[in-house]
Amino acid sequence: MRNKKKIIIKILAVLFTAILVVLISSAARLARINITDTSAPILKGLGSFFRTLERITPFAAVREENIILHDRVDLLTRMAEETLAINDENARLRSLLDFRKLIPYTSIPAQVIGRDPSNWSNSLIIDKGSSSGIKTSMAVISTRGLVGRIVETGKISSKALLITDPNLRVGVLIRRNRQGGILTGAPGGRCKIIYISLDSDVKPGDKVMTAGFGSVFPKGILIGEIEKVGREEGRLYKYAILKPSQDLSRLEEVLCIIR
Amino acid sequence: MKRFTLYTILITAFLIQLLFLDNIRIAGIKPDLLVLFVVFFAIFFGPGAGAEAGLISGLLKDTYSLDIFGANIILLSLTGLVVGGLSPKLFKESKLTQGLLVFVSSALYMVSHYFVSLLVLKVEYITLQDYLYYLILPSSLYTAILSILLFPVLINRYRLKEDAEYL
Repeated sequence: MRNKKKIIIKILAVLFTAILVVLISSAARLARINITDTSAPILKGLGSFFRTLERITPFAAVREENIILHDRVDLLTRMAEETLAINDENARLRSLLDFRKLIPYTSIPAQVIGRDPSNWSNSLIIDKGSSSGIKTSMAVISTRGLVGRIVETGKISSKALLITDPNLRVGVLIRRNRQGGILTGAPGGRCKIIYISLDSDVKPGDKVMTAGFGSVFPKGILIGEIEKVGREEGRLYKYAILKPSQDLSRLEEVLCIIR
Repeated sequence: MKRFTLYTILITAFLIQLLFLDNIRIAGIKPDLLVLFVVFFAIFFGPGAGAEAGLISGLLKDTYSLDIFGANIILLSLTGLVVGGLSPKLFKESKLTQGLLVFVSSALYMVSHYFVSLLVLKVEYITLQDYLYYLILPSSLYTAILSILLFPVLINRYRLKEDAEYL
């Protein structure tokens, strides 16, 4: 009997705490970036420890070299893709003499020190914050293409929402036919492009890049390749499933773009 | 089991989830260690311990992710509470029952999360069917398989008995 009473009290306490936490959620949201900030050095240390453990293999040197070469190939592939897009764009824009959209961007490199513990949202914790010049809404890229956008910034750490998160929206262009759409995250590490015109000839294999609408994402950054195209019941547009140009779960370093 | 042990296990699981778990993704899917441990504590230590483990796990998840703040706290606490309440009625020594319980709990927790997201964030372009097919079912299955491997180790480590008292 006493035990039962004890359990009921415990359950009520837990539920009360949960409700209280939700009621003060706006204050908690402010607090959580400070908590992330405080624990960033620990996460960074633990992350380095895990990475070191991973690297201690008999073929450590070969593995290192392989990683560097892979990164170099990725970088060159991305540069080639972007150059093609820029060439296309140049041809079209030369007549308009409007090169202002092609302002070169500089960036802040950052290390990934944590990943989203929830299966639901997709984000990264990076080791640079406002003290390094990181601001919310900065675009985040890697050597292979677009990664996401900074959403929360602390002093020494920040959180970036990935392109695979359903809460992120990016204006995109299909490189082959210059048709636009809106990219959003989809479950299973993929993305979905919505609002593709019904008469569009978009097909699997088409490369997708940022459209440069708005002020967050610069134009021409590679995002990925279309895997599947379809039409949803009751909607007046096509959709496409996109495979990001990189495995976002294995990112170690990213670049935050200063526009 | 002491409260300290419970918190140590949960924090360790959380750190693994935050720092390491992406390395064992299969086809973009990773297991949820925190759900696994919430169900474990609920099955073997009752609804009180289950709800407490859910509360701590949810708080950790909500703090370090960009998820809706409070959603994981409530949903994981409820998961612990419900599984703990059901556990006396189940043959919990069976590995199949344990795996099935983890699978169902994880799937229901994620389906509930989908509806919370739908209400709060109005994510309308992704259907429940998409989530079920690409995230909820594969991830729950992965977590359940992991539980079949991990539960015997934990049971052995803490020498759990039918009449074991929590805290």
